[in-house]
Amino acid sequence: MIEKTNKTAIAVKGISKSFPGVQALKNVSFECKKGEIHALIGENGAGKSTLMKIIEGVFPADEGSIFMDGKPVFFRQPSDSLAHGITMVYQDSNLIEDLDVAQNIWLGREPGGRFIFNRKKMNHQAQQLVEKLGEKIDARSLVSELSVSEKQIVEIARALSFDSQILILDEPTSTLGASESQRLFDILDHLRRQGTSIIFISHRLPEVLSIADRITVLKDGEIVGTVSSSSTNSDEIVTMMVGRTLDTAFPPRAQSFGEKILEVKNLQSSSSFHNVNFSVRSGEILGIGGIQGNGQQEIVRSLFGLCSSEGTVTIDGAEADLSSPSKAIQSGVIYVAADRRKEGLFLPHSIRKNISVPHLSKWSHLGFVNRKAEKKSVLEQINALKIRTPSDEKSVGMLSGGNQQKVVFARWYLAKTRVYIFDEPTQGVDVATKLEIYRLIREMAAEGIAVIVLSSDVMELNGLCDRILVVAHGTVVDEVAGADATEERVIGSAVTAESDKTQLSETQVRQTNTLSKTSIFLKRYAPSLLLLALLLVIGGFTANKSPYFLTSRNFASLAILIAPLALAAFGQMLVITLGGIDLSMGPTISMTTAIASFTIIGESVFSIVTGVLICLAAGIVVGLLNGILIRVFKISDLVSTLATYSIIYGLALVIRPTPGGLINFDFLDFVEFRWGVVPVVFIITVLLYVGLEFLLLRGTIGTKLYATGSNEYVAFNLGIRVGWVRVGAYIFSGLTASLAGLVVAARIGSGDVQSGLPFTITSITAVVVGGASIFGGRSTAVGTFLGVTLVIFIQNSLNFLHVSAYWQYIWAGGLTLFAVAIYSLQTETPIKWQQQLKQINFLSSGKAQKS
Amino acid sequence: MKPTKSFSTLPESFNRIGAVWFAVAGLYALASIHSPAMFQYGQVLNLLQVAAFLGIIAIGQTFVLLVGGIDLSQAGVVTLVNILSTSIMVGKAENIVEAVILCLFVSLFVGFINGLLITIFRVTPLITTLSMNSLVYGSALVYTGGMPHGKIAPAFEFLGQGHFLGIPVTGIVWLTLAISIGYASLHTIYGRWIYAVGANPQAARLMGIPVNSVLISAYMMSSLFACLGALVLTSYIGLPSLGIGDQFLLTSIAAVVVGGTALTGGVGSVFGTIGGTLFITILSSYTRLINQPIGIQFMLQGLIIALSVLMYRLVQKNRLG
Repeated sequence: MIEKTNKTAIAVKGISKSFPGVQALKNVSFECKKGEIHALIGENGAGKSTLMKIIEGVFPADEGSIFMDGKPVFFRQPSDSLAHGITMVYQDSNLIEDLDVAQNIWLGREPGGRFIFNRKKMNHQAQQLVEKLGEKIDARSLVSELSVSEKQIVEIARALSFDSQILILDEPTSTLGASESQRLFDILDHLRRQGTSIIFISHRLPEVLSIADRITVLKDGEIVGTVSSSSTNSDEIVTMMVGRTLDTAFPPRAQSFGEKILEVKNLQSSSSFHNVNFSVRSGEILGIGGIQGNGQQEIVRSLFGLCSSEGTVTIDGAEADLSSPSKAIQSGVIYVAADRRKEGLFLPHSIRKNISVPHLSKWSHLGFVNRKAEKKSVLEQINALKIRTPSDEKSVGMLSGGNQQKVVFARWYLAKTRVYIFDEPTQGVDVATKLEIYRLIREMAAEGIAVIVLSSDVMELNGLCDRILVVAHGTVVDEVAGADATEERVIGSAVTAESDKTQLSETQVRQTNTLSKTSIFLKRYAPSLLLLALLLVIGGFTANKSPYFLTSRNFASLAILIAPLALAAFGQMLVITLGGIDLSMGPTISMTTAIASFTIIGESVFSIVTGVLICLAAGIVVGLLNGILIRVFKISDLVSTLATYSIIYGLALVIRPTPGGLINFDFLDFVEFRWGVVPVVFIITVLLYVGLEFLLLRGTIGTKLYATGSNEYVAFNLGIRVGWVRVGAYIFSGLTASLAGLVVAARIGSGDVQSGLPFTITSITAVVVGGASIFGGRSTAVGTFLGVTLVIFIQNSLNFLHVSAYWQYIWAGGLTLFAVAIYSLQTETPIKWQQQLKQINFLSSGKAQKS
Repeated sequence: MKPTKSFSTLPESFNRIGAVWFAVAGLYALASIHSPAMFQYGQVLNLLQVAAFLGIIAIGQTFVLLVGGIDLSQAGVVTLVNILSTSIMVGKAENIVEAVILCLFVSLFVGFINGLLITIFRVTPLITTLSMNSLVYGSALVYTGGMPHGKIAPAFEFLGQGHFLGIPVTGIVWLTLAISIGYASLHTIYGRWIYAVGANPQAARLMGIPVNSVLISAYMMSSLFACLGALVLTSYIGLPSLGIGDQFLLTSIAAVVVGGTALTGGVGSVFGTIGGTLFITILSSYTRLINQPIGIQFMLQGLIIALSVLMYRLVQKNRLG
């Protein structure tokens, strides 16, 4: 249309890709010209996201290649495609929740130097980008505090910041209101004029037709065709999208239905759906369809207590309590989840255990399960459903997808209830099993049960269901009788439905939420201020009771006690910021005193410097060992450092079975050297912390640390070497442990294996009390230092108050529990939980190895 | 890492009986060849007697690991029970019931609070139980003022020091408990729930299993068996001893992990833990017998924890195909 050159920016040729049991892409060729907006559309599962992931470098294609400016390119990981000027904007947020908007936008390429970045410039540029999108988000606000649509805007702003030649947007408007969408289109149009190529995935035909130059339709992993948007209309496109060949025979529909069983009235949830009304009769199969992510999953999950909702639901005429899964089951509702590996199966367990788990009381007497009766019922189901397995004791993790799904069905086929909800019942299942599943669902309905089937496969809905509800934008937009349902009708209703979000976002009063300096300061340092207040209270109270507390002598002795714990907490904090933990901290300190009692002594063969270096090297080795166990052998942080705890403690005992050795007096003098009344070691420690806080705020390494701790998966995709960050943190932790050990050795003047052990818990206490999240991503050096001070302060105060020193164990434990409970209650764990799941999948997939 | 292949050629019994028994037999044979004293009947009985303390405590730890958690507060509970029971009994038989009931109550309470913090307050199991250990140990210290006093009643000695048909009572108590609890965990609804919650808490929730209650109960089981183990141990030594529980902090986890229970939850059994207990006990008594410093024991134990995790992962991978 405008200033279009005919140069191809990116082309994929002959791409094929198959996953176990599915051919996702078949010989796909596709190109996007310079300065073109090219829309890619297709039904759910047509292969759009697979194609985009191949372009991005998430996984390789089986066949075919990618060309940029005519030259072939290979991407092994997302950061490779990023380096080639390809930027992706995903539908689900790929941002680091614990960083602010500016940090997210510039992550990994912060303006300024290589180690220290220019915060002002960074904020300013980020603010400009966000404002270009017409959004009034302060670039200094934390991403975790933004709404879904604001996050989408930040994601787009980040993509724009790359100045990429190729921009790929996966349903960018699904969370945006009409005015926000319009602003995005204006920007895309502007970029197009500048020569950027844009691949735009969307299900909203009106907007696709208005913004795109050309439209390519994908169906069943194959290209149907490419049309120019100026010469087509939505009817033609819908016709291109549909028309898949029918590869399955469906069981005949019911002739008549019975009584109304389930009735849903005015069901709504604040975030995902509204005004949902429907009913299901006995013997009826109700289908729910539409484009994925329009609220249909939330609707059915709310009927099983998995999403919160308001409205009335009656079963057999009586109002049903569906507030939790167990209550829903009692009310007669069963939900069979889409993701059977995550929500349906107990993978390591046998088929028998998987099938019988919800029905155990059936075969039980006094809590003991009658194995024979259980086995008999299970075997009946295995035979009835033709599950192919040599034995009912085989673990389900070994079965094929189809057989796994049959196990799930057998579980619920065993004892029938009133309402069954099947979420994507045939996902990842072979054709033969699909047929059997359709037959089973129909049989269940015929027995007088109300069945709801949620599916993204329109063919499946049309063939199987008696009635279909089409959901778009969180509400039912169309209702079709199964016999009359056509693909055109269902897809057409779903993709042409206009969003009524327009009014919602327009009526919302947009505040210019520029953050004040104070509020930004408070966000980071509120726990620290709280600690400071607590310190003052304790100090005031103790000073009131004991005149010796406020003497310079006491402060000097406090300082010498703070130094080693502060050093230990320094390393512990880095590890905890990454969501890990270093239990070997204590033993490493012990071991350092033991080594020091041989290498830093009066008549040693080593000089003091060499002796100290040997101690530090030992600490680094411990850290490296932890890093290798965690990163290379993939043993969890907890178990790895538990194992090294034992190993290092044993080693320390071998070196120094009983306390002994005499530390060199010169070294003692050096460690205890005072500047005025303040020990120099303390001053050095404080300086270290100041440096750390500065690096956390302004250093690229600090951002990397927070990013990796907050969301390792996203950090990895942005090219951060997450493996090195983690191993580095453990090495640093070992190093600070040996530094702390040296100070302890100087204080006690000898080697003592018991001297270091308490540091494991006290260092953790100091860090979590200082406001760090044990899930990673949040911590401040200031908070940790104040946490350390508090720990030592309480000890000291209790001494002055003549309280038994034994109380320290009680308040240390209690304080830790209190702090962690308070902080974890504040954070929204559902989000964290999902992130952790993501991370677990990521780690277990072994992709992290590539870094 | 080449063993992946060789594991698949191992006999089926390797998986069914459990790798740990091969390890126990192998270690015992090696130790006996190197130091024939290990093979004597008296030494076998002695092994059984001392293995019982760890064995009973590790039964409880098994439950926590099966639900995917960890309990580092068992050490504190053992110390506290040792202190409490001796100070209440002060050598008098009429105080036994009171002492035992109080110890059981306190332990169950500790387990309950652990479970509550982990489920309702969403504190991670590690932080919860590590802090709880400090709290409980501190309570024992404060209670005694650092100077424990009291002793067990002579009537209580039979449990830890007695013999029945020439076999130490501790061993009989341990094996009876372990086998009956092991059987129950596989054959009761509650036991099946424990495994289900450990393998997939979200799926368990969708099956209508009361996940939080199951989790809390697992931590209560852990404290309960720490208490029972501590009572038997106290009966054996007869006196209070501060910090007597510390040795179990890591060994109870080591015994369970060596016994084949996965730290990821849902896989393993109390029967495996019997083997794991024997393995750890044989190892430590062997290192003592050949006069190796105690530090070597700790080093071996740490290595074994890491190695077990790696080895069982290979076995598991092999089984899941």
